[in-house]
Order: sequence, then structure tokens, then C-alpha cells
Amino acid sequence: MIPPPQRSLYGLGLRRPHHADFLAGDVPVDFVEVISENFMVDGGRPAAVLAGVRQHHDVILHGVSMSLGTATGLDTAYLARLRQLADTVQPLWVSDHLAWTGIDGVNSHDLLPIPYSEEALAVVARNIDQAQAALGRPILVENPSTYLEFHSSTLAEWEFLTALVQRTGCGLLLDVNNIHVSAHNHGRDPLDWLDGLPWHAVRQLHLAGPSQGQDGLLIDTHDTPVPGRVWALYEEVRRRTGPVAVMIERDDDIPPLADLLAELDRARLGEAEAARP
Amino acid sequence: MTGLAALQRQFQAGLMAGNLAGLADAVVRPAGLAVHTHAARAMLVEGLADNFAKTLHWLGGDAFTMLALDYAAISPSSSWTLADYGEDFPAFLHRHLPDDREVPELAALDWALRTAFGAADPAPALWAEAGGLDWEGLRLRLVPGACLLAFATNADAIWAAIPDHPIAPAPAPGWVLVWRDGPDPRFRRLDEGEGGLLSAVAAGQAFGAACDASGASARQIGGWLQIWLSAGLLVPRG
Repeated sequence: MIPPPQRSLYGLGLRRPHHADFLAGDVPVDFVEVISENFMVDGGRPAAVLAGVRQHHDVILHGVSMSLGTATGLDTAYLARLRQLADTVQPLWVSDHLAWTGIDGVNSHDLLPIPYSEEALAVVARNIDQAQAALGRPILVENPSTYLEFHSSTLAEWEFLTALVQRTGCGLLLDVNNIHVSAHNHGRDPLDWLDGLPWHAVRQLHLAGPSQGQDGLLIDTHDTPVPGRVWALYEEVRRRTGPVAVMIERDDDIPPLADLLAELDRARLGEAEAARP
Repeated sequence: MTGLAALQRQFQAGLMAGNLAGLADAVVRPAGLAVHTHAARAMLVEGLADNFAKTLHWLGGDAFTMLALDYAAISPSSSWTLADYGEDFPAFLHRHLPDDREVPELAALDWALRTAFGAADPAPALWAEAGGLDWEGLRLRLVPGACLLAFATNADAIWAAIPDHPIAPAPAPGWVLVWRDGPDPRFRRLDEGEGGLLSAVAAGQAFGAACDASGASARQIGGWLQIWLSAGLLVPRG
């Protein structure tokens, strides 16, 4: 398993409006997280931007298309290309989601839910093993925002994640907003997640804001500031974690960098608050 | 076929059809199915909007979205990135808008520039400096990221004028070359002689024969060749 950082790290995602700031190297962050697939290219500006950012910052590779839940296994060409990128970038770690995005060579580009069944557990564990072997490094798996629960599920999400950690040695990227969204959408208490997760395996936290969808559902849109309920949940999370990497995840309606850095400062304060007796 | 694989194939087929109602009995709260029905289609349309930005501007949002939805319904993505989505969207537009020739050509230019954006970095054509090259029999190809588009209209001028100075479509047959200059994708319209020769050479015709057929002077060909090689546009085949 990936060892925990010596101290908590605070970072942001690399998004196009802020490229110049990160290339200048004076953004006060400990790491920059990039969407892996955006940089799995042969050359050009994306490759040059990543190389430039890497000169100043540690980098985390966060993927959206590994499709760890696909029943028929992973795309070996994808893994080979990701390995190439990881070998070049030497990231802190590589992560992707507990989800599937397609089967039989199709990619929906949506993070689709899996039933939390013994069969799916065996599939995802096998796929994580395949990914870790192909990448030559352990990975982090992120809990998803879900809008569906399957009747065929026999495990709670936290039980499923715990079993994956035990079977594969993977670590966890805990998205606090995703817990908020999933708990809301399924009428559950988010503290159920916190009581059941394997905290020793958590290496990174995502903080983001959702949007209100139809039929009372919350949607994981990453287009709003981190809301109060997620900050409150974050404080609960920090009481349970040691040093971790914390990131504000914003993908749409991207605000000025200063706004995101202010949210990151609040995350730093949350760690200090949680440390108080 | 396992239960999970069957479920995923049914789910994927429903996404393609834009209707996941067949899974209602498999889930606790069917309202959540609509989130994925919408998201999967929206992701593909947004991917097309990003990859064909000038085409979107030319057609307008509503018309573009209608066409993009029709395309997405029959054209699943097979890549790990949406940046690769829409390779045959220009051909789709050609079939659906046969009287608007500039539209698929705009889309072809959008796509070629997009492809050039992430292509391997162009390198100086050091191979051409080697002694003993059989230029007569040499067969060449364009490097990845470079392409030559055969246009019937002034789509390249329309592309360049969007959004500031819209101009009317007009017949303008000729060649448009797309390539990468450092980090920046670029294009330029070639005159008939340069376009014809580059087209023949890029198609794999022996260099000597292509030059003979072009009818261009040695001085003209030397000038074009110098431009192509300094831009790293061509490499030997094989």
C-alpha cells in the first residue's frame, strides 16, 4: 500500500484557466492533481504544460476512464499508456474511481454505478490487481457519487471498499462530497460511511460542491464552492485521518485561483480544528 | 456471460438508446436512471462541442446540438478521452447537410487542428540531410498531426473569420494544409501547384514521378520542399 505522507498535503486540480499560474511555479500548493487522460498524448501543449508544472510541483494522476468495475477486465492499451505517463511524471500516486465507464470497447465517459455484490467485488478486485501490476505501483480508488442502488447489492459501499483494500492492498481516495451526495440520494446518514471505512488506507481527500438535480437528487457537478455540509463532514473526516493529501476539486464554472486557494486555506484550518482535543 | 457483464451490457445498450427504463426493476429508486441517461449523452455532445468549436459557432447552438445528439445516438465513443470523439462527425455532417458543403469542411478543419494539438512534437527532417538519398524513388508520408484537406469551399476563411467577421460561404476548391508549429496547430491554403504535389507525395507516390506529373519547375519544387522539411511535415515511408 502507498505509505502516508509525512504531513498533510494541500493541492488543487490543474485546470486550463490556471495553467499559467502553475507554470510560473509560485502557487502555494503541495501538489497538483491532473486528469490523466488529458495528458496521455504524444506531444504538443498538453505534454509541455505537464512537464512545466512538474518542474515546480508534485503531481497526482487522477483518471476517469480506467473503468475498474467493467466485468470483462481492463483495457490493456489504456494501462500501457497510463504506465508510460506515470513513468514520465513520477506522480505521488495514480487514482481512479469505483465505477465502470463502458464495456466491449465502448466508453460512456460517465462514471456508472456497480452493484455492491460478491460477484462485483471479485471483478473489481481482479481489475485493481491488473491495474496495479500493469502500472507497477499501487493505486488509490475513489468512492463515487451514486444515484442508484441495485437490488442485487449485498454490501454497503464502505464494506465493499474495505474488502477491496484487504484483497488488493489499494489505498483510498475519499471524496467527501461524494459521501454527502450518495448519502443524500439514498436517504442514509453520511456518518455510516465514516463509521465503516478503513481509515488506515485513506491517502487523499477530495472536496467539492454538488448541484441540485431533479427528483430531489444531488448531482456531483464540481461547479460550486464546497458547501457547509461538506465542510462539516470534512471536519468529521479529519478527526479520523492521519496525514493525507487534500484537494479542492473544481471542474466547471472555474473561479479565480485565489478563490480556490481560500477554500484550501479553510481545509488547512479544518485539520487544525480536528487536532484540538 | 456473468450477471455483472449482462447487467452492464443492458445498461450500456440503454444509454445508447437514451432509455434505461428496462433497468427499473433492478434498482431501488429508478429516478436515478435518468441522471445517467442524461449524463452519458450530454458528455458526448459536450465532447463534440469542444472538438468542433467553430462548427458549433457557425451552425448555432440549437442546430449543432440536434445534429450532435443524432450523431451520438449512433456513434459510441471507443476512446479513453473525449478529445478523440468525433473522427467521422465531418462525414456525418456531409451526409446530413448535403447542400451546405462548408459545414463538413469546417468540421474537418476543427478536427484536423484538434488532432494536431496533441500529436507528437514535430522534429526537423534530419533524414533529408543524409547522403545518398534516392530522391527519385523516395516515398513519403505526412507526420502524425499533419494533414491535407481537399476543400470545395472557403471553409478555411470562414473558420478564421469566426466569430468576429462572419463571411458568406462560397465555392473555393483547393487544398488546406494543417500542421503543428511548435505547440500551436496551424493551417494555410496551398496554391494549386503546391497542394497537388504535396497531395501526391503524401499519398505515397514516388517523389520523382510526382514532381514530373506536377508540371512545376525545379525552383518551385525546391522552395516547397524546403518549407515542408523545415516544418517537419514529411517522413519516409517504411
